[in-house]
Amino acid sequence: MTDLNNQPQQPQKEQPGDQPKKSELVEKIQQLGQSNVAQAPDSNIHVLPIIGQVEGHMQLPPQNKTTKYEHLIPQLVAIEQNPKIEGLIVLLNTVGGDVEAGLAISEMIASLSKPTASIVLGGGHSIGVPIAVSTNHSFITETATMTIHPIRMTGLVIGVPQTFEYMDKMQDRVVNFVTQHSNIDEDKFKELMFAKGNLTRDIGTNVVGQDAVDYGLIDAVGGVKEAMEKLNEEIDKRKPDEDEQVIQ
Amino acid sequence: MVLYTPLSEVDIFPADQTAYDSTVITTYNQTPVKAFKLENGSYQIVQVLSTDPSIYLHPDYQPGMQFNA
Repeated sequence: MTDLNNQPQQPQKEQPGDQPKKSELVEKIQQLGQSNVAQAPDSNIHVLPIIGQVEGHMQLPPQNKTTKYEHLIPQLVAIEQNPKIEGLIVLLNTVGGDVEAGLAISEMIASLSKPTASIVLGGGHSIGVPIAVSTNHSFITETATMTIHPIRMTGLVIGVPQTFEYMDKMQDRVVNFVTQHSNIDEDKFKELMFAKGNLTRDIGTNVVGQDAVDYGLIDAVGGVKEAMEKLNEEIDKRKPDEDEQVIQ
Repeated sequence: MVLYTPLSEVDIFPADQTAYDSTVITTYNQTPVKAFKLENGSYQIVQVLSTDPSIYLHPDYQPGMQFNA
């Protein structure tokens, strides 16, 4: 964790003929396009954004926005260890990505001891679904969508029956995780996954906002306000009762 | 040219290696950041990779800010 108050102060050198105040302001405008930025107090709730594509073993070209599991997993360990952090919000706007990386992130979030909440903002597609349901409480905004479809593989595939068995097992891992961490039952989830006609000629279903809640996949429709309320409620529940502490 | 294939675009047209080298992931005061390495040896922040929301509002961590490694 970075303690913002204990950062080493850069020595300010005053040179004759130099106007440090003006140049600093000009520099700031040049670099940031603005002169000042709002300050925030230290937060007891941390935010984990799952953006773009969930990157697996292959590094995607730099123009892609990606979520890298090797960044997120140590951060999740740090969140678990840091006593100052009392809750976690997961923000999702992802198109999906690598199944194993996505499941690794989901399992890490699900095994945190601290209260967690997720918000599906624009889209939480494919492997975004297990990540969204891995938290204690999941929220979806009214306009957000989640595409549920069977897993796919691109690239070089060894053409043996075992490959397809492996894919079948991988599919089961996703289905099991989602059904264990949400209120949707396996039959309903599989029905959505293999539905025809919803995604033009593809198989699968695109569930929007309230539909995801009706299917039991997501807990409630809501945004930041609802998620923060829920998290603060959970954090308060975990705090030791002050009255009990006084009586000894 | 029309390609009709289940392969992803990057499998057919791999990105130039130099594109990967332009940005590096480094730490600035223990906060992981994605940064662009400048010619004078300092770094310019492209993206902050922290979970601490207050870092995103801290003036030193705005995208475009420069720091020395």
